[in-house]
Amino acid sequence: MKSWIALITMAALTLCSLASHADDALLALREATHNIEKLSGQFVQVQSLAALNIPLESHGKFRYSNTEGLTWHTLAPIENTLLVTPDYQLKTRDANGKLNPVRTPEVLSRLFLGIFSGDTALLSSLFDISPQVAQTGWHLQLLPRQTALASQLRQIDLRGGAMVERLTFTQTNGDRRDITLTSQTVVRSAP
Amino acid sequence: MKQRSPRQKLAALLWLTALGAALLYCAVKLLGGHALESNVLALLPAQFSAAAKGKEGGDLEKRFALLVGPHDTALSVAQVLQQQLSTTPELTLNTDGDAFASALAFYRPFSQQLLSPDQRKYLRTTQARVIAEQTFQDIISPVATLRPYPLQEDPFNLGGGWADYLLKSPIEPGAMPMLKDQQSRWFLITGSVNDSPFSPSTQQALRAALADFQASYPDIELIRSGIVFHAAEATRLSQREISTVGLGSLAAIFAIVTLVFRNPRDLLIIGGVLSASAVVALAACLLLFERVHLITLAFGSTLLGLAVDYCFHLLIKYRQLGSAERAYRLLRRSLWLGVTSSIAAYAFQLLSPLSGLHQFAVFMAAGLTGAAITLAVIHPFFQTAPAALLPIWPGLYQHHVSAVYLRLSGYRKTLSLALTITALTLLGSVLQLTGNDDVRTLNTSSESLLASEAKARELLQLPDSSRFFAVNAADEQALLERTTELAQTLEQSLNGEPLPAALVLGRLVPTQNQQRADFALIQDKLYGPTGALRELCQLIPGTCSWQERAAPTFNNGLTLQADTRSIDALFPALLFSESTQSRLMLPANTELAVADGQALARQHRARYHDTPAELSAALGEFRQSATRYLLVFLVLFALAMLALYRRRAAVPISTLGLVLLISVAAATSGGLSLFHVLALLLVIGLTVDSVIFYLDIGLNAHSWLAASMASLTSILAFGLLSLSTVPVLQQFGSIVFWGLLASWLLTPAVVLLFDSSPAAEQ
Repeated sequence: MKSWIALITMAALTLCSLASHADDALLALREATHNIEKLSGQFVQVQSLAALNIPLESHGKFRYSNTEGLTWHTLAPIENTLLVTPDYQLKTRDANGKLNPVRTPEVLSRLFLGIFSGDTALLSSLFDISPQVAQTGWHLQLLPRQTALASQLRQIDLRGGAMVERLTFTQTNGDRRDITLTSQTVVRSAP
Repeated sequence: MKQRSPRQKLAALLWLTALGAALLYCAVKLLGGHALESNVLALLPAQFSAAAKGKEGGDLEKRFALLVGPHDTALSVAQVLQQQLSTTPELTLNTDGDAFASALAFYRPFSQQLLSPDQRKYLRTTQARVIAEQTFQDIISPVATLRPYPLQEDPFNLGGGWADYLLKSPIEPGAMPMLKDQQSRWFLITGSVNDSPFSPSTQQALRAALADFQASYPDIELIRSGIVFHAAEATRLSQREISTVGLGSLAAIFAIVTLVFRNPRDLLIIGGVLSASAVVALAACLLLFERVHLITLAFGSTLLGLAVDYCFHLLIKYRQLGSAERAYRLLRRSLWLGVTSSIAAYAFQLLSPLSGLHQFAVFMAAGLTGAAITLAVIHPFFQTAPAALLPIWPGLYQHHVSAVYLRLSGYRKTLSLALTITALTLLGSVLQLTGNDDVRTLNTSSESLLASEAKARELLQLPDSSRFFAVNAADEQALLERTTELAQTLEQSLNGEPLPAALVLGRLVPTQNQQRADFALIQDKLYGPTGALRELCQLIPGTCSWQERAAPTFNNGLTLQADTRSIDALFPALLFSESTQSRLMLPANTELAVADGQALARQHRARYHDTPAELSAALGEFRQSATRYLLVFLVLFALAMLALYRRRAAVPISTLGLVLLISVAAATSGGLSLFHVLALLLVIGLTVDSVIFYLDIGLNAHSWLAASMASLTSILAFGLLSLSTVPVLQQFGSIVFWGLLASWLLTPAVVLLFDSSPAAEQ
């Protein structure tokens, strides 16, 4: 009898711990992105494409503002600027500095902006979010809820500490995109 | 007590057996389902109902869409509704990615030979190096555009561009498919009903599920689109209108019979005759037609008003004479003359091409015959001596009505002149009447449902399936070419507004020549010795070994012979195409005058169809033919009256003429419609009955009372229809109301003033 009680207690504690773990990780993401007014830094993106025998690396700088959206400026191997506006429009800047709209499903720009703005409600509506064991900081795994999205994207992994530090997109065809954010400076609004 | 003869007993037995069989037949058909029809198109000739269906038969009409909004917060509620509907056995919900994935799989073998106009222009005008740089930017962009096929198979993402061109859709993928409307967000649920959208059980299941949902979430807005919702409203409305007229008639009959006869047996007799009449009418319709339309039943409920007329005359005469057999013998000629003239008026509608009119005519003719036979068979069994009428009822005529009419008879010449001038004036205004044949009068959907449908069509950018070009050609390639050329000309006439590719067959399946030309352009600009692929390989580090594999060959399999079943549902142009014929629909809300459409069609040897305009024109033709048959009937009626009544024939002819003129002039301010003409048949039936009874048995307290009871019950019942929100029923009700009112007041006046026969003097 005692062993049963112990087993049930252990199971309950494990469930509570898992739930608490999930809450902790989401809370960490929320805290990392809490009240961000401006954020800037550098990125390194490494793409492992099934068609290529070596990874494709690009790097540049990014800037996020809660009023202007996200600017993603790739410096090498080719210069290119992308802008995700707060109303989820995606635009690219051409050689003359003119912004041209890019047709892409809004869900992708919502997703990308959602990660930087820490919109966990939006992320939860698009993905099943589960915590993963992390040696340092936190690690969240996002699995698409919708069939159309899931047919292209297998999962997203978000890792971080005080800030979001690494994003990994794994596609269903095996392609993988790792984005590491470094040298981040943040301006938070008063709580 | 008088004994019934064996012949009378046998007749009663045979008739009861026939009625029992008819009742059983109706019960079997109705309980078996599918005996009733609520599809308005089923009332029209076959070419119109067939035009609404694609090659998948009824699939198009089975689809429905629901939009839940208008805010982001509606997402969780929409998911609840989706879950609820997915467990409803009458429905099949669409899984969101299936159709899209099928289209990508279908076009995959042809990805290196298909170009949208923008892609073609881009390749023609852009340098290979720039193409390579832009492709590379797309590859490294963290917010990627759709890339449906692997990089090594389609390095320049031609498939993504083609999918973007064909599958241009306002629907955003997300936790649920979503549509944006300025500040609003709508979450989309689509599916189809498993049975016909006109199936009552299907309609009931969907309605119940949505009613529960709306009761649980009153703040959530629900936009509905699909034939099933309109069919459900039509069914509900028809049932309500049938109940209104049926219950109104029955309540009026019950009240008047109770007041006048004060005897439950008379109520039973009337109930029996009306039931027999309805059973015979329904059985005849079910026997001759596959299904009986609910609108036939709504109009057919006027049968009660006519059938009860015969009962009133017989029962009142029975009370007056004390013998049912003597009463029947006296009335027999008038009764059968009235029945025959009414049946003749309805039978003329069988000559019309409108199947709805055929059903109506059969229903009425069979029902009237059933009522007359029932009276003929059961009257010998009226045994007990009837109680006398309360003196107040005959006194009503003697003290109030005849006194007024007799006083007026002192001014016979003046009144004759006044009536003649009135008739001529009314005739003048009736001759000026224009037709009102707008097919929208047949619409039974509420304003809110129509607004909901329009909103859904606007958000989903659904094409206008009622306006299209029908294109034919000698062979497949010519057909593809012709649809493309027609689309280009149409775009020019729509101020350059591009048509969605999904609507143009020649864009979904480009001609072989076009595919070869695009293939050659792609080979030259992308994969040739100076093509963009070499430039791209300079930008991408590594061996670029896939360069060799990306050298496609032409695939000649993209033709109309290909199996397109998996993608038909996504593209209206495919759904309505065969090997040598296709349909080019207009986008919703496109402004194109019928004449312009026809001119464009002639230019490309196609035919332009504006279904609402064609249906309205057809209704106009049916109205004209129904009116012609009605006029022929009136001429024959006048000849029959002359043959039967000689000099006295002026009375029924002038009475009927005046009543018809008054009712038409009073009730057709918006123009004369087919349904006004149908309502006139009931007015004719009751007016002819009254005037024949007056001529044959005399205008007296009893015949006036019987005619008044018949008129009042119908006025009370069908006057209610004039308040209907459905234009067609409102038109019907107002004609009946004014016609019967005029008939009730005028018929005795004309008889008293102008019939000097002994019968009139009674």
